[in-house]
Amino acid sequence: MPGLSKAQDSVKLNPLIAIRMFVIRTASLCLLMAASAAAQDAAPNAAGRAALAALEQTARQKTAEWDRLAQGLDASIRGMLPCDPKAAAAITEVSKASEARLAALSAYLQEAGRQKTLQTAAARRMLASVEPLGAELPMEKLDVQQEQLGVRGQTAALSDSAQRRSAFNGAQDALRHIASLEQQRSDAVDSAISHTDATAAAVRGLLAELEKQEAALKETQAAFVAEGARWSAYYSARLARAQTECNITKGVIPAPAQPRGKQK
Amino acid sequence: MRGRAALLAFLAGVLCLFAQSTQSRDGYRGAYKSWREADPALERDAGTAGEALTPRTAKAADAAAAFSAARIAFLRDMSDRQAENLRSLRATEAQPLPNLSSATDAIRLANREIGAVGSSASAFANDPDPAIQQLRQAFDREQSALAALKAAITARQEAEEEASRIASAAEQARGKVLEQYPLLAAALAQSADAMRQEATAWAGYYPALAEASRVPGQPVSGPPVSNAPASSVPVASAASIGKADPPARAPSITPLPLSRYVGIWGFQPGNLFHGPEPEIVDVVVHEENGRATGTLYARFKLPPGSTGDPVLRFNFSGDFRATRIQTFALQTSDGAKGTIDLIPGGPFNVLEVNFETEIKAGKVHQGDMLVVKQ
Repeated sequence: MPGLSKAQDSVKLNPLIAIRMFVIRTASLCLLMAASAAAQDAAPNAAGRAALAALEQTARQKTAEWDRLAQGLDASIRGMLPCDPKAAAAITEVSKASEARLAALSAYLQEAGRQKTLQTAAARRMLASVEPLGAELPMEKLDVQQEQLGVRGQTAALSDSAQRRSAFNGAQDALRHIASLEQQRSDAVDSAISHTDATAAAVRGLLAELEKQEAALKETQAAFVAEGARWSAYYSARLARAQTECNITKGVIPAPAQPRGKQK
Repeated sequence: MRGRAALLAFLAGVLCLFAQSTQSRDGYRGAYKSWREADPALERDAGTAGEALTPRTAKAADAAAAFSAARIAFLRDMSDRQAENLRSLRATEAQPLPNLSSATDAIRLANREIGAVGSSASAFANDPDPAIQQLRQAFDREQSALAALKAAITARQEAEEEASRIASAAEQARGKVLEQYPLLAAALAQSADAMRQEATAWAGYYPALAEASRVPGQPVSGPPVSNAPASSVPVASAASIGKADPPARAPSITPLPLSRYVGIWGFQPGNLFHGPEPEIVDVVVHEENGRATGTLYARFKLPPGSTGDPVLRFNFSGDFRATRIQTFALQTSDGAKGTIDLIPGGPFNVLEVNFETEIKAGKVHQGDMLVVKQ
């Protein structure tokens, strides 16, 4: 096809343009990928923090509501007659506020636990990227040494070849500059090697503490659940007592509970 | 053309660094082997090969650029992973739980109720009335519920205190990591940074070698070690060394020698600048047949809290003109266009670099600084 041939010829005739197009496309793609990866990393942190802050606010609000009702319960029902339906309603209202508070606290702790799990996983990944450096960096050192050897060889060969001709000063200066940069790399690798073990040990310590913190958070959550059940039991008992008081006033006497020792 | 292609290939490699997850050593090791094995006699022949060295240096420059790109990719990957870990570590504190529901207040409330229920129950303690007995039992059940509640609140309080103690220990552990990790990350970043500068230096070395080889020269003494035919080797007596005139070359296009523009230039701390403060600036300027090609890589110190990109890379090219200030068109790595002025400074080894690009959000678009010949 003539049109297609022309297009191909055009590309062949302009390799620089083709390369530029490739570079621009590659660059765009790479930058997009980098931006996307960075966004994916940043998003859970920011979203998690916002979610936790919202849950904390809700928990504080529900706790304040319950606290207000619980502290005033006795005073509010003291003046009521035993069978006043408002008394039972007041107890039920405090009980519901207590349940709402504990549900909000549970939601907060669940999210905090989820974030702690992510934090622990991040520390685990951190350790997984630091520990291999113990083996990687000595390899890096060897490669830098080989590169240094290569530059020394070039320098020596050029020195012989150039025979002190001033035209080669620039090239020789460039090689000297390269050699000094390679020495900087070599020194940097030495420095990294000297800090790897201490860093890995510190990250291991952090991971252990984060794992403990994660477990402690779960225990706290379980303790709140247990406490929630006890609050419910207490408010049920309180409501039962109010009902008993009402029954007595009305003259409705339930059958007395048999003492356990006499049941047989 | 080959130099440009090499530069573009190098640039493409570098641009992909950000998107690569884990680099293998095989890539750069293979590229290194290819480079080193391609023309091991290049420097040895440089003194004698003359014009014939140019295509060989271009080939070596391509191979060096390929190696440099792969090497930078590897080192950047290693460095970036640690830098990312460090950022994440700095951003997440091991905070203790906030006191959302005071256990002390809850225990106080439970105690108050226990007291009230207890005193009411004791008032009916010895009353034989069956109805009162029922009420007494209700009080007992309520008291038991309150005792169990108090125990549960106490258990929760202990769990919270333990969690708080552990959070404090975790925060201390995080502090220890933050003492060590930056040292490791900085060393790796320094290694990657030096490699990047090395790539720029290699990009300048081969054209300098080719240019030097084209200049007819006079060796000090003895036969040069070369693969080239003996007849092509210029011979001079030892006595002529030192007395010889500078190597002959075509008259410069520019009013000042081309060496005032061409070469590898770098910004040094304390150098004068105008606009954003540079941290690193590497400028490489080549000349071939009166045409300039070059690259600039710069990293600037942005104001604290700035979210802009501190790094700027661009290529520039154009013809040298018979003016002191040379102005060339530039294009940044993200496509912005602009111009760069190269202005020779007072001392021979100082060059003023002044550039301006199209404005792009978050990017440095102008700068003016003195750089020193490397």
